[in-house]
Amino acid sequence: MKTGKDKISVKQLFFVFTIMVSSPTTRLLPKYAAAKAEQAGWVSPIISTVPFILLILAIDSLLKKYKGQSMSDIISNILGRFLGKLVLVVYLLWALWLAAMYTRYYSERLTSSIYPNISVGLFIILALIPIAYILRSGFTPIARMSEILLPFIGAMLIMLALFLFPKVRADNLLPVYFNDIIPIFRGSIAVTGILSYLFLMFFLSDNVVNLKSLRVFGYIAAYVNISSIMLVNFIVIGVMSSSLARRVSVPVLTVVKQITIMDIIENIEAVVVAIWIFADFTMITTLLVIVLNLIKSIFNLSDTRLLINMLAVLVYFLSMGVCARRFELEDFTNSLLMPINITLGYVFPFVLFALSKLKKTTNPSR
Amino acid sequence: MKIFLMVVIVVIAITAEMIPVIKKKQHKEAAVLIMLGAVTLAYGYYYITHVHTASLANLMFDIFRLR
Repeated sequence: MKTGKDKISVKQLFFVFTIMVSSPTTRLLPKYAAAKAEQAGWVSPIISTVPFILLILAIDSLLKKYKGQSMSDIISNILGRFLGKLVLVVYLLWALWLAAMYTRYYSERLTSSIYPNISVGLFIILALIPIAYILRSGFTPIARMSEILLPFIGAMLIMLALFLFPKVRADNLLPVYFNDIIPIFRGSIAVTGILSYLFLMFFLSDNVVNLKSLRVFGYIAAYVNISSIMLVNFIVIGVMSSSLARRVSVPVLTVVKQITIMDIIENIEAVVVAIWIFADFTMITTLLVIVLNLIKSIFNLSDTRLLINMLAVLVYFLSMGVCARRFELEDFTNSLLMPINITLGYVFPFVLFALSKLKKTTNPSR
Repeated sequence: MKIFLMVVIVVIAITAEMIPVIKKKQHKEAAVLIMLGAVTLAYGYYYITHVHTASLANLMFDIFRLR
């Protein structure tokens, strides 16, 4: 699909989304699934397929009804000017919070895995400088970079899974019985919450072309994301057991450290760390693009590039002050962020979809 | 000292962007930039003066009364 200079295709949007999801997939999801559903944790992502597909259908319906408009315009059209702006401010705060939180997570992950003696602030500054630089070129370079790098990330995931497969123990993963249905539902909350970021991506929908194939690429993205999350959960719980996986700070890294190839090649966790850095970089950049787009919609600005440097400084302070220590942030993610994600990423879009169906369709683009 | 450094960085960031914006007469953009700068200064001041206790996560827990 050929795209214009500042436009991206819907396929590229889903590539970026898949890379965004890969960041919390390796950090949070195996731990959460092991804590909530124990040995059945690897099955829990399947439950998230249903709300995710419904979200894709709701977004597709909204975008078909209000052709050529961004999600901000659609919200303002459906809810009216005042209420629409209020909702956009809520989404702005959510996106800004996520950007600050993932910047902090990125830095904490590096200090807790490979650079324990380096200040958290230094990594944040080192991340924000290139991000501020790349933001000036818009979202297109990120989308194109993701399109190139996602196949490598996928291949790496499959290779790591193949190397670790001999270490998987069946008694760590079975039995999965009817009694596990409720824990599996609980374990799926985190996956559902993370996949809700898809709705945020559509605040960029005025920059996306070929939206008529949203459903097809949405189904493919659902399959790829759910299966890769299941694979990661399967490997981590299968190798470590659920009781260990939920107690280790970064279970994926601990599992990958166990890989040896014929007793010659070891310490390939550097590859995982490189993927993390890229995934976090994509996540933070995309969230900041969304923040800028929301500011543009709220204040009716013609250009937001002048805000980039100031926003980077604000995100630095927010990410430094988002938590006093990592434990607090993990506690927040597990207990409060997931309900917020589900409310803003699923409940509100479904309400919007219902309101759009109730509203008269006379000249919706006005 | 940290507050002084923060103020200098924010003033430089605003001034550097403000000059071309004023030349182009984009007053709304300039106002939003100043507002963002003010928010940064306010939160930055809070963070620097409460560096060991500043935690937005804790504030959120208090707001939603989860603790």
